[in-house]
Amino acid sequence: MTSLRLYTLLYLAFLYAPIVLLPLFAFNDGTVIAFPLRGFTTAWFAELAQTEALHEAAVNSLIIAGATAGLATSLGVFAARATSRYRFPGKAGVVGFIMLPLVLPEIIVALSLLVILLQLGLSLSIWTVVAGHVLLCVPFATAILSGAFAGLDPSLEEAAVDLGEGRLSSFRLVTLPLIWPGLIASALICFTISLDEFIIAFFLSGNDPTLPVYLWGQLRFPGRLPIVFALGTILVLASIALLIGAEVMRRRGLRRAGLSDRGGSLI
Amino acid sequence: MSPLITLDAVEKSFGNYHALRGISAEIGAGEFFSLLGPSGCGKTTLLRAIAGFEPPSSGTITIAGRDMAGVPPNKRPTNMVFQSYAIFPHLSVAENVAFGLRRLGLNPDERHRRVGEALEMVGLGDLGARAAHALSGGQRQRVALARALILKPQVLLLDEPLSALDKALRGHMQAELRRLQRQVGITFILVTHDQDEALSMSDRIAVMFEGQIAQIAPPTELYRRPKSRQVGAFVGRMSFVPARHLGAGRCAVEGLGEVTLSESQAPDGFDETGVIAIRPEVLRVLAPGEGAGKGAHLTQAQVEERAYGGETTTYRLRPEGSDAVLEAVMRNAPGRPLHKPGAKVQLAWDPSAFLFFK
Amino acid sequence: MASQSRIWRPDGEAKRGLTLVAPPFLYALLLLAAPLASILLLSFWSQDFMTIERDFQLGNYREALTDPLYRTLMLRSLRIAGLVTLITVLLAFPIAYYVSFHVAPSRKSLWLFLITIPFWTSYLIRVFLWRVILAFDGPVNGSLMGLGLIDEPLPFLLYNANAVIITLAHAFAPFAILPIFVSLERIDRALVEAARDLGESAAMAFLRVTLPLTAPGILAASLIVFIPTIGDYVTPRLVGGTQGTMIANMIYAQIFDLNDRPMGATLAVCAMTIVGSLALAVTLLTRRWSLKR
Repeated sequence: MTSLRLYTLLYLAFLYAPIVLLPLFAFNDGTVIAFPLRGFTTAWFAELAQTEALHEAAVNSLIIAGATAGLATSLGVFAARATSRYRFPGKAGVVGFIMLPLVLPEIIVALSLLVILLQLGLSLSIWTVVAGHVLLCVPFATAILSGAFAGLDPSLEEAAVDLGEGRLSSFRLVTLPLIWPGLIASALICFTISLDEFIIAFFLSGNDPTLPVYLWGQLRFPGRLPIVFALGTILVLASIALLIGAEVMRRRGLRRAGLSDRGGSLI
Repeated sequence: MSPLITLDAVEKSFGNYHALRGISAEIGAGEFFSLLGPSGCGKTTLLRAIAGFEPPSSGTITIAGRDMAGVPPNKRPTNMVFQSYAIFPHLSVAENVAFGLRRLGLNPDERHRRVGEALEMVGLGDLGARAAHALSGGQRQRVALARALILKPQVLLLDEPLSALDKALRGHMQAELRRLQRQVGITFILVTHDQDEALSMSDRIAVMFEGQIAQIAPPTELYRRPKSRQVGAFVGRMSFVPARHLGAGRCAVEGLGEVTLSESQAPDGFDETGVIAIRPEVLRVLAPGEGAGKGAHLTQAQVEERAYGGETTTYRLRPEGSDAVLEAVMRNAPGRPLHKPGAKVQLAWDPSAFLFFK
Repeated sequence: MASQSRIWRPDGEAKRGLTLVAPPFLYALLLLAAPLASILLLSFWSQDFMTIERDFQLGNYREALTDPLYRTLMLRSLRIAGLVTLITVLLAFPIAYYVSFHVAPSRKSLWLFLITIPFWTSYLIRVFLWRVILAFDGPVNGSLMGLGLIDEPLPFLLYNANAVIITLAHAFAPFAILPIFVSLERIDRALVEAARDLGESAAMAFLRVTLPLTAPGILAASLIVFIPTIGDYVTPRLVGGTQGTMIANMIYAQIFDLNDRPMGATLAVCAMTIVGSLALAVTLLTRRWSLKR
């Protein structure tokens, strides 16, 4: 028991090691990424603020992530409600197919999308990236929202209908308030995934790089590494903030529905 | 008086599964009507068909003279208390109770007054502001009742409303429901698998097996004169003893000898072979020296098993020289002895309460 | 009865369910099935400089299956993915077990949250940081030398298959922990107590009850790690060196550097077919095995 706990703590250290190193080098006063550290500086962050190409990439990333979050969550609502409420022929296959991008190697998804886009003669832009990211995020949105839907007593909507409301207003008055936190959690998670995703963006972004694609380009220049780390620090902090937001919303949703916690948004 | 609800040949199939097979019944205004049956007999499906959640595959449901075909649940003069109570977890008690008032467009004062009345009626007068998830099981049920009754439906449908409560609370809520029904004077239709619940609360009971109604009768009639062996076995306890019909009501009963029954004691008619059905309170285990009373038959029997139950004791008895097993329940009056397994006892019985089933 | 009628929904349930599921399904059909079909088609074509020859031919497959370079890369990818799966699942099991069995229920979600956070943060940066950590002058070598355990930096840390394995095992950790955790959570605790009550030691109760009941979770974890790992591009590129290059790097090179899209498509189809049939075989074998018992 105590050794198991010790092992778990060591494992957590292993999981967090890279993230912990990130800010160390981001604030390190030296261009060589190695120990010992030289001294504290915020120069790299200042330089970030002056890099024009970076700003464009950031704007691209935010547009893509925002659009992805909205679209994937909307599609996820359909999938989650269908799976948690209804039985229909071929359900396992249909749902399995929707969830497939979760396990497919990303390079396969990226490559096949690229090939068909080129065959169709479409030009690459941030919207082709959105198309790919939505595909990737729908399984996550579906998983999170299924949790929100599955916890709902199916009698609740029936009770609303029984008390005189129509089908749509029952959804609006009863179901929507109860899954609202789940919607927010799903949108935040999708936003995070899209913000960090590299391969699909790398293949499909054309001349509109996202932040990770921009980062990838910078990795080739050793002198730019501290800037990469500064940017990485900001990205990681943003991700963590988004994730905490998602977790808070998830728990609020559970409380509101009077349910007990099963562990996490993906379980 | 014309019935409030008429069910005419109601059928419901889900694919190959026939949940309801030709249900016909009439339920009166102000009646406390129960649907009693084992799991899977179709009683909840029938209730949901009346509520409008499961439209029948064929047949008609008429409520207050109006054919309900195509009428959605929100347009029916019925309201429902769900088995899970379906209390909206994101709303307060008062908001739950007021839920159905929204489309009536009442002014706030009127709405407030009616919510107060409804809560008062179910004994939750001061809990209006309480959050729904902070309620106990009994309170949740009261909220569900108030929420349904506030709309003044002509019929209240209750789907196993007491099954989620513990035993002590259940008895209390049975009396409470009965009182409420008398107070509001509308029709209650209760689904239950608990025969005691059905017997103690209902004006009439419909016993259902495999999608069909086996018998509709008031509780006393259902208990004393079940129409079939299956109903008799499901409602209350019954011993079944093999018997042969010798003609003109004369029956040779295993272990008890010959008895003569009237036509009315054979609900499904006499046949050459069948069973004699005996309720446990019809048999009396005599204390030593106790008289049997006038007209009673006497049989020697051996105690096979004894189950002590506080106010009563249940004996399983074997009449001498037979393999028949009879069940008898005796009140544990002061001074009355308990017989041990293996003991020989005198059994007194009166064949006028016997029934013959094919 | 109640449960039975709960399962049955109103008439037209199937229609309503299909209508609801249609938008996400059509999206997946349009953006996944159609593209996958198109690379399958492309793999039977050939490319001559910039023009695609649309004649059906099997030359790409012949080349993909006979060229020793492709074969080496494919086998290496399988080996690396297999090792990553093994290591990740082995390392993950005790974590899932600890959180499921030894953490108070109210704190489980916090632990899971802590475990999944690194997974959600920029993959690219995490992989690159492993390059820093494992580097010649990185913190691992630095501290080992500082402790006097080694005199020279360890040469086998970076730019080889080991580095790829370590990095991938890190990246896919939550993927392995979550399914195992879920199957552990589903185990009725009374089952373990029953095994103890029937005379088994704690260790034997674990082996005879807990572990077999977790088998589906372990299988899910293995597949969910194995399948994406085999197609990973970033990790071998950043920390693999020439000895750690995998099939995804070759697919990328075919498309962008060598300008042979049909060959890239062929390699992708081959990789998917191999992974798919392996996954299917493992799933079927396990199911058969568990049915037999």
